[in-house]
Amino acid sequence: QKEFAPKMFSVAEIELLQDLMYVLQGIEGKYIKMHVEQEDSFVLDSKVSVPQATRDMIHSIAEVGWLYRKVKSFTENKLRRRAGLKACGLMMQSFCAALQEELNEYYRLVAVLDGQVNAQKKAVGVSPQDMISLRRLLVWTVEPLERLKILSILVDTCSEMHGGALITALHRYAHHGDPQVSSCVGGILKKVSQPLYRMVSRWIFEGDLEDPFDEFFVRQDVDASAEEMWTLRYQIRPQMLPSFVSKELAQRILIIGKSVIFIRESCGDREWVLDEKSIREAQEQFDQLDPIKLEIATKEVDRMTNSHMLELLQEKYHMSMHLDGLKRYLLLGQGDFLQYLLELVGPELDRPHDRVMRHNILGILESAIRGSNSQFDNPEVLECLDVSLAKGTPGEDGWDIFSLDYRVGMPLSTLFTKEVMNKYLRVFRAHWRLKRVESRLNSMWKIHMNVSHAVKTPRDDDIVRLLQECYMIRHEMTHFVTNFQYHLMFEVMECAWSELQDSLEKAQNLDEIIAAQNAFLKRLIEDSLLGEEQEKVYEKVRKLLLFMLKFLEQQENIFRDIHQEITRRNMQERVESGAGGVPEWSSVSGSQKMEVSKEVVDALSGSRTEYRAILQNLLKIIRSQKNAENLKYLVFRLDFNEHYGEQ
Amino acid sequence: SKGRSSSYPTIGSDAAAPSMKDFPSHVQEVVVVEELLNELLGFEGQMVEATEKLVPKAGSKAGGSGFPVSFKFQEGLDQSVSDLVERILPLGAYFRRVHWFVHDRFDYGYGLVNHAFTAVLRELMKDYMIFVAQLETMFREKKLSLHKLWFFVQPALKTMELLDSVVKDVVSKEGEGRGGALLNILLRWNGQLRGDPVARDVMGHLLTRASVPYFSMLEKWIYEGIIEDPYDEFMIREDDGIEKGLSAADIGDLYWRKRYSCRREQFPVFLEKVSEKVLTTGKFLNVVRECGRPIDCPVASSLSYTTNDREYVEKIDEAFGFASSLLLRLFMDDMCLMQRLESLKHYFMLEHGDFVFHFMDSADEELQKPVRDISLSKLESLLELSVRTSISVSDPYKESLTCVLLKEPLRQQLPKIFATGSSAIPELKKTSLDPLALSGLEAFSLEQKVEWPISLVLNRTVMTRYQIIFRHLFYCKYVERQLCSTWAGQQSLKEYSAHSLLLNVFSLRRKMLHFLQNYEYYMMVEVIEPNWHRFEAKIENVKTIEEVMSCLSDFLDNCLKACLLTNTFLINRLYKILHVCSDFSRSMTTFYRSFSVRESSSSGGIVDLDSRGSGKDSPVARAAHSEYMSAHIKTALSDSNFKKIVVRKEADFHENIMGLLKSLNEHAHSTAGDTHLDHLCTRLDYNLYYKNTLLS
Repeated sequence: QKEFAPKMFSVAEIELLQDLMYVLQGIEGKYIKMHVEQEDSFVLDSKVSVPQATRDMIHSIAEVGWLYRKVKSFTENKLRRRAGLKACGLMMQSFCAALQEELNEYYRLVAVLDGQVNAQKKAVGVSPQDMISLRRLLVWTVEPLERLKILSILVDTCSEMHGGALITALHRYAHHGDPQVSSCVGGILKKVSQPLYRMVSRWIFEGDLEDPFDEFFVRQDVDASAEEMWTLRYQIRPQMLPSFVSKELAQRILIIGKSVIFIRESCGDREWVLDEKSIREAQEQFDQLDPIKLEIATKEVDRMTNSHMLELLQEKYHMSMHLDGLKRYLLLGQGDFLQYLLELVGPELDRPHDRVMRHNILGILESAIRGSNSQFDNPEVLECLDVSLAKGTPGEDGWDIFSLDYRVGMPLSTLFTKEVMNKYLRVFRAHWRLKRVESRLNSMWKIHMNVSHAVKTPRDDDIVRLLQECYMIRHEMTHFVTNFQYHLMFEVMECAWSELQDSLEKAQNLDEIIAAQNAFLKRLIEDSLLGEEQEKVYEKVRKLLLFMLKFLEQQENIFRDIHQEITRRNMQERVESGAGGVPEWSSVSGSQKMEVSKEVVDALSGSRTEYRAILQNLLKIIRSQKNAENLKYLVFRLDFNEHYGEQ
Repeated sequence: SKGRSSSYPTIGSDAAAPSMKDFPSHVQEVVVVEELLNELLGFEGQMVEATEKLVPKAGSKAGGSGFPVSFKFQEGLDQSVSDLVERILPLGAYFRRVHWFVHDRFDYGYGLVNHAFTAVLRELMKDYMIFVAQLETMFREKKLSLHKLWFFVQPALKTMELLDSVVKDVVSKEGEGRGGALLNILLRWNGQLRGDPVARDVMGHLLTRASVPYFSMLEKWIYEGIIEDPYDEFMIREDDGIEKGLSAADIGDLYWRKRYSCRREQFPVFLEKVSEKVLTTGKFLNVVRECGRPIDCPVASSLSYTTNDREYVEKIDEAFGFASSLLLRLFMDDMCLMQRLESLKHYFMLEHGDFVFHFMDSADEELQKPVRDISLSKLESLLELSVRTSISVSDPYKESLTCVLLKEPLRQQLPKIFATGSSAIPELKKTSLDPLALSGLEAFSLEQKVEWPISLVLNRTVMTRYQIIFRHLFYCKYVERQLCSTWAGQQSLKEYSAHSLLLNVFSLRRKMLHFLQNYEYYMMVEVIEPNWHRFEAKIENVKTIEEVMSCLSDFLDNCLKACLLTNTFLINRLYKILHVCSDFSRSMTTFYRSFSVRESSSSGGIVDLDSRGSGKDSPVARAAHSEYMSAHIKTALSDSNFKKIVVRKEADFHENIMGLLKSLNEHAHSTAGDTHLDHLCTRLDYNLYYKNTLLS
């Protein structure tokens, strides 16, 4: 054909072309071998005498073969491992499959080229238009070269990636300015994310977590108990979160799946599924493998699933009713019941803690319910009502360990976990303590009134002054107790409660309900000075209350003495007015009276100073609290006219 | 990946290095054409030698020690053949350079525009390679002579030369060859070659394709408010460091101004005219997005390169219109901006003034103290109490009202603010004044907590102006209240026949009250209200949120100006008067109080309500007491010290008010159009009393 060709080529071009066909398949040819030193590159045998340009051209084409080899060996390696122990994940499998598909295109091209080469070799008379030459081959391989380059980049970067991370990496590469590249990588991405979408759809429709290779962005903690199902068992696995799935979306998907499980397992509604039509609609969106569609589809599923769950909680398990019950019993909303209970249970609780009998208290509880408006309460609520006695330490009495308790079963126990209930109990104990002091103060007032009615003005002026002193101190205490209680009940609890109601109304799923309740409890506890960091403050409050009890005891004694004294004076008066009596008795008691009075007055003024010192200390500490913003009204109320501040 | 470079072993090349001289001339041509075909595809032939080598930058993908781009044919060719060859040879060089460029920019890091640009270059190169392959076919059919080759390569030569020079230009512009800047380079070439139809077509093709990623970023920004720019190519930069804060005072403003900024160098020239619009469009949408509202732009259409800049401008205008109306609706309807402003007016402009009086009554004692002794929380609770017991209890924003104690008195703050030209909060310079020693009255101001995104509109600048107005009004009201209590003090002396002695005191107080009440009336009725109505009317017709902001700022500026707060000279005069009034009423109050003490001491012992009533019952005792008190008062009033005080205050007052009136008059005449000042003058000097005094 070519007069000059034989001089230039020791090997005919057609031979080289045939060799190149093998090289394109990643196999060494007759003349083109893998280079010994530079491994991984095809080099034309140096003994073949060809012009440099031809040699370069061959090397250039051989690069395609080299790249192909790389991609091919990657997929083979990965897929071979499928059977082995360290199997690659579903998404990596899809990735390999997608690569294989790309390679199929390449095989077709090589087959066509090979056909041309063979035809040319056999039939001499091929028309020049159909002839194949190195230059033509070069043109043919431009496109596969680019494509394989991209694939090899993907292979290089993604080789050790897994699940969601792989998708993230591919997603980044798919964002490319060259439309061909982005469609190629985008196509692969679509195929790779298919298993992910399948997992998402199983998860949100069935609550099934089918993830043999830990690739999904929801993780299951097998050790979590049924109660912790909602809070702990399922978690987001952040490293597996594809970049196009936002944190919010992931959270939403997590919640949908949890809700499905919650409905089926905890609420016992095993048969429940979304209606067919909505599943189909959502599934259609899913099948398009588009992040935006994912967003839309899950939104709808989220709404339906969670509204069903909330409905169940409300209608079947009466969540609101129980919350209300909690408020009325543990947060002292049911006043008549508590007052009655306080009266009944008082003697029992005055005993040392180890002699308080649970069954006695349960009986008292029962009668308190019967004797108050609580008897008309929903029996379901009353059933939950219980008594809990904490483990006491020596020296504590019944008051320190007693609290009401409220026990609910599944599925509401997800909401009212042990931790949550402990918080309620803590608040109850604080209120209870205050209530006790208040009732003691009130009953002391009764005694006081009795005594002061017995007093005759001109004669018992000294006693009147003493009584007034008592009255003043006790009044200060009542002021504190009333206002503190006001703060707890109105400023804190009612405000927090109305916030809770608002957020419950807005809540779309159980997470939001839990969050709302947590916020409620947090506010309740911190503003009631019961927080963990506020231990010192509440210690002061306790000290103050204990002091009040001590003072009340002291006062009881005083009143007893006064009562005796008045009886004595009455007697004496009667004697003096000639009604008869024992004269020497009066003289003895007369001297006694003076002594008692002096001591008592000293003790009283001591109590007053001590009380004020404690209170001032308390006020100072409250002012320095972190959440002083919310407590400023408390201080304002407790020290309205700066009576304590100025001293 | 391996580049095609000369670093491959060259063992085979020396095996056959024939010399041209060995061939007869007809064979010579064939050999030359074959060599040229290799050369055109960028493969180094045996008979050429490189004259210029391209050394790649360190670290670039092409690697190697550099490769030749220009060639010279071996010696020994016929001169005529040689000349023709020399003409064709550059084509290979062009191809090499473009090829090298495409190869070099394969890296992802060069950005999307580069990706698109190299993609289109690659396509052109592929066409070129097919063309060369066709030439080869002709050559094999022995139909390709050197002359024919020269004829056929003509169009390719032109195109490749152009590509080559563009590529050279891009490479030479270090650091600019990406994103919008790359587009600008292409645009410049396009502009220079407009006369050449082939070049124009090629450049048009390049631009259309290369700009696709840029336009899709632009679409995302102006239709959705999202920046999707992984390689920092877009003309707008997002600064993630600036978060939308809720509590920090300045953040609203800062967010608006700094969160998004322009990258000047990445601005394509055809968008330069509308750059601000593009920036604000996205910013608006972004705010809407951050508030969790969906954005579905109805005017969204795909943008692509066109030679007619008008088209972009129109589309961007449409997008801008949509975005601004969306944001305006968000602010006006969802965020209730107008109600907000009304609430601000209630408090800061004393429209609901009753709470101020409640507050002054309850917090007077606290406000008199120096700042270091004031408990802010107490002030806050007093304020809350006064608001809750006033008409404002129905105001939905009363919860966000608090108070602050600022570090400088109004008079010192004002000149600083207006001296800097802008009313942004000036740096707090070290003043000789100890901020803790200020009286509460001077430091007190209201403060409204504003949450995001309303804080974008009611930013610090705006709030500062509101505070200035409030502090001013508050102080005026306070002084007025002092004067009124002076009046009340005087009433207690009514029954003692000291009236004639107190006449000058009465009249001075009257003058002061007249001044204050009229000035206040002027501010409230003639300045704030009409301006507010104008503002409301303007707000009805606004189209964008920026207009709202400028209207608001106009409103506040007008108020400040008309309340004389922008003129340092006038404000100094004004405050002197206020101080005189305040001093006067304070000394009078002390004076009266000394009597009431004396009065109670004269009736002997501690007087409680009952005994006082019974004691005064008898007319005789009453008369005697009255006589006694009158005598006392008369002596006190005729005391030279007291007289001196009154006279001095009167002189001070007169001097200052006349000074004020004079400069007001001058001001009113010098600045035409400020009719409000005329009104104020007339009000303050209704019957020309001061003017006549001034003249005499």
